[in-house]
Amino acid sequence: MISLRNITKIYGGRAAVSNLSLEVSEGELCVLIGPSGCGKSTTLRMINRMVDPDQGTVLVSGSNVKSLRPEALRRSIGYVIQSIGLFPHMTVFENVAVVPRLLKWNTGRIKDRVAELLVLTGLEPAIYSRRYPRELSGGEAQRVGVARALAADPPVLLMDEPFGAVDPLTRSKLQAEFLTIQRRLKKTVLFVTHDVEEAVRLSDKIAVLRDGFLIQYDVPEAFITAPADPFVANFLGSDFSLKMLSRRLVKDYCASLSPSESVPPLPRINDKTTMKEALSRFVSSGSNRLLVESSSGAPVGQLELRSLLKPFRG
Amino acid sequence: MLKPPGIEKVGLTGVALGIWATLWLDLAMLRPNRLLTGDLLSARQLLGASYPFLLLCWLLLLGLVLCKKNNVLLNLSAGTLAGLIFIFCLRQAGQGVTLPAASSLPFARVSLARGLWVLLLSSYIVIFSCSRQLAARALLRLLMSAVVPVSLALLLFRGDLDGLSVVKEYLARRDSFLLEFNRHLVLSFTAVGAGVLAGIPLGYSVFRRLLPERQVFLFVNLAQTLPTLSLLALFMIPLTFLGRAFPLLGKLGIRGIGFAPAVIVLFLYSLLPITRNTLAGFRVVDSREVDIAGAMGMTAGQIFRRVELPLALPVIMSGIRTALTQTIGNTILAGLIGAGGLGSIIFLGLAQAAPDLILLGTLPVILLAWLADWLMQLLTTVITPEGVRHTHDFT
Amino acid sequence: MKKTLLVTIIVMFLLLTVSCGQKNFDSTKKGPVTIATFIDTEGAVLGKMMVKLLEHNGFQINDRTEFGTPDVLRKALLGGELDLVIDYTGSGQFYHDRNDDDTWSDPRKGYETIRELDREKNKLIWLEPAMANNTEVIATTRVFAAANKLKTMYDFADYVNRGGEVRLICSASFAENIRGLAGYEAAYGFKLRNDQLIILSAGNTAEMLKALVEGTSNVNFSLAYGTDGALEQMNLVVLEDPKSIPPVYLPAPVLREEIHQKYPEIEALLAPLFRTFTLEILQQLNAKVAFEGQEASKVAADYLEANGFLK
Repeated sequence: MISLRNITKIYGGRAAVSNLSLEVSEGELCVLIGPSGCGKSTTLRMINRMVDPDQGTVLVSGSNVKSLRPEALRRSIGYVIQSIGLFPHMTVFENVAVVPRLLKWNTGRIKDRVAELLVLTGLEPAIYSRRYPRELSGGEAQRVGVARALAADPPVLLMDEPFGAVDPLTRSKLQAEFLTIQRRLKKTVLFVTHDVEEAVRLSDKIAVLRDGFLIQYDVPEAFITAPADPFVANFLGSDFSLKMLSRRLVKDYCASLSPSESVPPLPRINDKTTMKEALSRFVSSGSNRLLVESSSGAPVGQLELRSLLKPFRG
Repeated sequence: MLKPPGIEKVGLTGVALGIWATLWLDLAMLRPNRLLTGDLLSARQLLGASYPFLLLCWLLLLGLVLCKKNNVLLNLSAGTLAGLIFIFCLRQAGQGVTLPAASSLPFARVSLARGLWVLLLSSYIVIFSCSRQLAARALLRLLMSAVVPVSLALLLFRGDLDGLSVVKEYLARRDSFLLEFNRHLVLSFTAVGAGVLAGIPLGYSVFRRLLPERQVFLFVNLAQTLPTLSLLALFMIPLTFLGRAFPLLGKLGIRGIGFAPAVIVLFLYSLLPITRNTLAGFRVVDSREVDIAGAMGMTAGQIFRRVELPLALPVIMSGIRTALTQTIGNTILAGLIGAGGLGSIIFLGLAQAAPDLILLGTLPVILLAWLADWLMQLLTTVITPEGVRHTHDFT
Repeated sequence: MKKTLLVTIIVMFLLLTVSCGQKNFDSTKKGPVTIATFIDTEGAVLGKMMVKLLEHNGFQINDRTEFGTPDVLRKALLGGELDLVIDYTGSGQFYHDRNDDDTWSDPRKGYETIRELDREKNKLIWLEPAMANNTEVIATTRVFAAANKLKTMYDFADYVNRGGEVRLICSASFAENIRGLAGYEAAYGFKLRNDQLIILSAGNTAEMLKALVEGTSNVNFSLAYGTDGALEQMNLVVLEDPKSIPPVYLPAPVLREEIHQKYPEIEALLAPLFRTFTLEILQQLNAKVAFEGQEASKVAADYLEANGFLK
């Protein structure tokens, strides 16, 4: 879907991106991660031609972006950035409707689409449509930012630290919501972050960059077993495997209770929580077993401390 | 928003000023003719039998201001009464030529003295304080503010003020007054219009770094630092030459004297606030918003029209507002180079040592500048996008 | 869209105001002729008379009476922006830098000199002037003159030399000119100290005469112009000048040669009017405007009517 072939970008004699090649398949979410100045944002901006590479080619859906008019290309690519960049003089409705209007959709279609997207991102259209950005909380604004990027239903989304400017609690919530949306829409996403946990939680594949070079590109699990070099291992951190636990949900690892068995008096945990949270619960409760319950509170099984070892070792 | 104080200090100040003027200041001067100074008249002399009535009105107003707090009816009455007191005194001044003292003076006329201006200030203060309390009742507020202008118009129309020297000066040159008034407007608006047409592209070019900021502002500032008059003189010579060398230009009014040099100089003056605010206006636009607008697929033109311009417009407008009020005042100087305008009336008054003729030229300039300022504020509020309205304070 | 509309409205408004400023002239009539005068009372009265007289005789007039100060008016006339103005014969000494002889003190010679010089050098035609000398004289109050037996400049010189109290208010140009105060001093044999003078930068006498009448700053003498209105009404008298020291300033219509050739009838129309003006008549006309506060154009119309020029 997106392929970068040997791209190089030089700023002031220094290569911001060096001979970088990367393939992102359709429906995949690829996270670009690395320390500041590693070239991840520049790489992202070469895809929608906000920056043109000095060497190499960028293909989106099989066509060389150089052969496309930048405006037309950009209208087919959703773009979300950290500062959100909502237009302060436009209402939420108008902000979301920017690209559809550029594409000259008719009014009715725009109206329906905006309402649909606001619902999708968890904003009640009747309440939010007519609000201005300054009347929104950080989280609400970020949702509008996502809705705006999705407005014209682009196959590709570029996200540059989209959840970087909100508090940790809201960020985690937004990440969960975004995952839900992504599972439904199956967009091809290129996602820049410097937050390892975010990368682990959202990605199908992770690309680690350093000084403009792509160091390692693989599925997250591969980074536990085979980090390319000490830099990667160091950058991802010694607790990387712990972070990996946040990709796994409790319900996938719990042993079911036999119908006859009575409910044991154990600390309880929701089946939708991540394995990382489950670990925390084990530590705090001192128990080596947890009772797993559904959202309604009905017991569905129990989780053994041992099961924490399962996720990455088959 | 200020909290309304327990006792209206502003209103009381207004009443105190008014009572002071009524008791101790001279309201008018009865002149024997157009040139010579005459006798000053206090409120007691001017009002005669109705003087106690005026004192009674002041007591009533004092009571109203003390009790009004934020009561709608009391505020409305106090504001109206304050306006009417001024109008009443003005009317009596206009009737001053019928006083016995004036009977032996065939060319008698009345000039307004200090006291009457203080009364005007006093009523303005009281009306201002009352209208603040009526903030929520726009219609009543408008009604109250209209008392003075409407009754003034009525008095003028009825001829009650024909004894006033400034009215006599107007009546003596009605046609030329209207002509000069019109010329003043044309001069000011043409200059500022040209300033807008040139200043906005200039400011934007500097913003886009198409032109060097230092040099542009050096030029634009230069016009401001030169005294208007020397700038006028500077333009007389080359323009006269141009007008003579190219008769067609001359026909269009490009000459050393009159309309063209006046407009050019006023235009140069209006350039600084407009250019400066245009640059500032575009600079306040967040570069990230412009960046994302591009990333969403807007063309350069669309970015300018849909993002940059609407966000910069309030600041640009306030530059135009400054330019306009300033130019309306500066246009007075056009009277010196034969371009006409209200300045020519003022200079005529200066030349003839006729203070009321000067007043006849000055009053409309003040009024015009005030009106233009108010209208531009209104326009700015209207075109400021709602989402950013509160980040700019226009008061 | 909303914004485009707004911009359109503003532009239209500007065009409208500008177009309002342009006058349309009727091409079937003669002219247009641009008439301008000094920004003073006499300029207003004489200017309006010329405007009305020419309009009455089928001309279209661009009325710029009370146009500006003398230097501005002269520049505009030389620049071809004005067609017909009023100027004063004695001004020739400044226009042509000819201060060398007694030309300007002689009414006839002064007129002929400026006429020749301006025709040759500037293609301007000076028409026949009015015989009313609007020259620089010294005035005092009638009461003061009677009390100190002041009638002529000889009396004034005596008074000064006797140590009489003097506060003379006058313009800078009069005080410095060798045909002004300096000329008077030399001719009549007196000398005023600086503390006996109040010098104003501008040359308009209204302010000075007002100070004299009201005794402001102990002023007891003032510069006056011969045709200043209301000298009579304000109980002022002028000190006679038997030696004719200052230049003679006769008001005359001046027009560009091109206009004069195109419309020779202008000369024929204005000459009889200017012949009617005497010193007293101009004083009276000026007083009606400056002192009584009448409208200049009404005073002008009344005079033309009364003297049968608007038949």
